Amino acid sequence: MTEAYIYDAIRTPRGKGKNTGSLHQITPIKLASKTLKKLKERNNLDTKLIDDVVLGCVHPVNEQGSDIARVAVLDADYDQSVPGTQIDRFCASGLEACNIAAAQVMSGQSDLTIGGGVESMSRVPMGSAGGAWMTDPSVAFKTYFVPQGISADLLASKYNYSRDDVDLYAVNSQKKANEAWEKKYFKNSIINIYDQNGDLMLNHDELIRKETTMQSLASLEPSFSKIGKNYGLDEIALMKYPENNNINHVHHAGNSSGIVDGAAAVLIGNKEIGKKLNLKPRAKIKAFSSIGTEPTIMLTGPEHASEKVFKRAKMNQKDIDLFEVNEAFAAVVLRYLEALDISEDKVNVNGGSIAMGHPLGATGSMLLGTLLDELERRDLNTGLVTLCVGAGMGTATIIERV
Amino acid sequence: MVQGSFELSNNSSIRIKGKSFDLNSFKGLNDILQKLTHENKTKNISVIGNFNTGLQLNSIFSKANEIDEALSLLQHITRTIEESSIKFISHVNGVVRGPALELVLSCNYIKADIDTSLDFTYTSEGIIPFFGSIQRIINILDYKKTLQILLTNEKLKFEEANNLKIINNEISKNIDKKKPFWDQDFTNTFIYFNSKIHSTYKNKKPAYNAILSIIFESSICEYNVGMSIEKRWAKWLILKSLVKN
Repeated sequence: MTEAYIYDAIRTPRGKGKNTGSLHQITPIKLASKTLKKLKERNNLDTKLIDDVVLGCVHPVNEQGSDIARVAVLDADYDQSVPGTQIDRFCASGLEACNIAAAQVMSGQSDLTIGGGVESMSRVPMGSAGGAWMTDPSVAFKTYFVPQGISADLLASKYNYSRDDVDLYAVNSQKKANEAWEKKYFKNSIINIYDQNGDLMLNHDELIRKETTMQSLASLEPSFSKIGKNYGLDEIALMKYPENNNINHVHHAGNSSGIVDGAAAVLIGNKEIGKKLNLKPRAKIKAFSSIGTEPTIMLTGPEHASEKVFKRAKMNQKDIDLFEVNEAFAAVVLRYLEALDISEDKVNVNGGSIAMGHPLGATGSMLLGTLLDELERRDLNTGLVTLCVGAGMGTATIIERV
Repeated sequence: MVQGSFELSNNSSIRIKGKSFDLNSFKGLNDILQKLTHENKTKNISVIGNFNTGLQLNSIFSKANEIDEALSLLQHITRTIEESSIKFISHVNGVVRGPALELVLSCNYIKADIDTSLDFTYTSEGIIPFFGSIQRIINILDYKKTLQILLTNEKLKFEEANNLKIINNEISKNIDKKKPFWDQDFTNTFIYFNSKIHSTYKNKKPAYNAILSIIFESSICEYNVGMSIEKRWAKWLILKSLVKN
């Protein structure tokens, strides 16, 4: 099998995903194409050599619809021979896009590809894409559908994570993200976003709240308590998990991932194309996997996807120097740490989506870049990225520096 | 061309004088508006005078680094009128065009004589409204009619303007409840106008592109964000023209 190497990884800053956010005026196509343009400039790419661009996007409708990847290729002034495809694996779309881009290289069907993702949550809000899972009663009943927030609270209840446990995790995420920004740990990957006049729109993740404390979080009301009770969602979760007596609603806006806008792109290729273009490989994509798990609790996919990818790579968690586990909700990471018996000081060392936000379709590829930057900074070798995914899936990727 | 200015009479009316307006004219108008709103004594203001006006673009936007400031002032003027507790009533007749048309659109009520013509002929002159009027027109009409009026340089005669309820009708200030436009019709409308403009002007008339982009980008945005998008594209257009000159 051909090896797939990461040559570069960049991302936009994450703008608050609301109408006051700094990227709200920037359409998703521009977020995506600015990222592709920058990747081209930084690597002096002859874009004729790119075999495919795969972008994750979770709500591919309206401005994000009609294959945003191909349209971004055109808007970024890539050669017209470069195709593009948009994929959706819910929250892991950005990582899955990189995995698919890598798979093309590994299979020998492509030499040079780009994986990445985009989501403008301020312009194309969550839920815009609809879908049978949550709306068609024949499916919703059968799968015991509950929204992710209820699943997160179910997860916390099942594994006894208290409000203090999840809040403490969130405080640390904010602290680590703030410190990482202050020490410029993200500088290698971040691209500033300018408007068409050259005026700066955003050059930092604007969601971080460095002043977050246990006290400040304690004042926040649980986000899913009311809908859990009033819509009967708690009952549905308990029908599926009767061993739980009740749902302890511990998650709120401060310990869940933030709604943001952003995009990312990762340049992936085989060894020969790197030599031809005089590009230095930064890491090898060692293995990846996705998995489906029980959809009502929904968020335990990362541990199972990781076990699957370990098996494939003939590795175990002890072989991994650093982990990026998407902070969809604090309980997701706490469960991951417990399930795999991993020390917290190896996981999300520069904070995560609780502090910086989770631009759904882009996050996976952002995390890949963040992991790679940090492995390089610490001169470590091996890292794993994983995300929990809607409908009970999980995706994981292992990379190794070269 | 007669230099334009604004004159406050008896704290009851603002008279538009002259035809051609520079930045100082608008600074003068802004002073009048600040005085009126600060004093908070007046309930109604009539806007009267000459409405067939134009901008001295070269003087207003002469330096690239001052474009933001100038555009902010122009938008600030109409926002002040729009958000004021004073009721602004414009009494128009004859041709209404240029900055006077933009001021009029920000008023609460446009009382029009039968010989009135609202000239939305911005794009044919290579410009777009600079006072944030596009969001206002969308608020009164809808995005489709706004595109049609601005891209075809329509001169709305009394009867049509009356039928569209732009004139002789209380203008809704319910501006923050604009709904997203996206649907099949939105897509089809943009396919139509994009291709019409592209095929007709071969990408050589940036004002048309700016109008299309403003309405597209602001389609899902609230009013204030729409204003900001208008300002950004106005700056783009002005910068293009500065480079050209």
